[in-house]
Amino acid sequence: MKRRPLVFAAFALGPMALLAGCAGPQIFHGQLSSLDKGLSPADVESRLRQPPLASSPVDLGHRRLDVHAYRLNNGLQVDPYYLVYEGSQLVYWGYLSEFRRQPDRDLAEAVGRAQGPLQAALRK
Amino acid sequence: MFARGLQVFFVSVFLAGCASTVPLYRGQVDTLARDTRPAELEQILGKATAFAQADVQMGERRYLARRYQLQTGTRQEMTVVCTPTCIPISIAVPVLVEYVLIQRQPGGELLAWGTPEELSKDADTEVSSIMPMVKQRLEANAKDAAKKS
Repeated sequence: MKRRPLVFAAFALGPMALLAGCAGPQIFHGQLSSLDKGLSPADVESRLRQPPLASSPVDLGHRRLDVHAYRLNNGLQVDPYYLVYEGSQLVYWGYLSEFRRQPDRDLAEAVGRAQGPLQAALRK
Repeated sequence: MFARGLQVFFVSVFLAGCASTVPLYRGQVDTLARDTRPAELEQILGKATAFAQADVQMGERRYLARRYQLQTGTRQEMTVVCTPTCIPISIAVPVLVEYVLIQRQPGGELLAWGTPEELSKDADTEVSSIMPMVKQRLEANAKDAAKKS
């Protein structure tokens, strides 16, 4: 008999925990193949069917970049996902780890600098 | 009765597997290189099914793009078989991702291979610049093929 409240709680809290994980605007892996280099922020918003959660301009001195942040649901969890624009054209997109291993170091630098300002919006 | 039911079930699962397309595997993809020759490439691809292909022209350059399914692993799915006693059975279901190979034409030199997402943001501008057209053509050709079948 004592187990009943526990079983009830598990059934009630399980779906609630799942719903909490799905809360908030997020993008999905299947949407990423619709992105192309050179797209404008408006084109990207249209293809992803939502605006970024936050954006941050980064001035590297020799290059000015805009970092946009989304949350990507990969089926297991939701992770920060970044899109970088230069002159209003999409130049690269990916997880932080992908930025770090691609050849253009400025892009990784820009995302690294923007991370702080973008974190608060991503946590909401 | 139960054993027979189970037999019928597994035979139908195996037959369904035979009827579907043949995916690419990591072992095949891992042997690809920029200098892989066209004949060698076909040998590596073996019986993997290209479920769409497209000729793409960008200025003076022509390309052949083919779309495959890469099996990246399997996931376990539970199903219940009742014959008439019901028992849960675990089935391994392949996890597939779209995978694209691009060759320069007419020579057939291998230019790029990867998921559409990887190729769209490739550091090589020759690859990333043709991807919007490649994706569009492959999608259109896949729809045409689906209608015909």
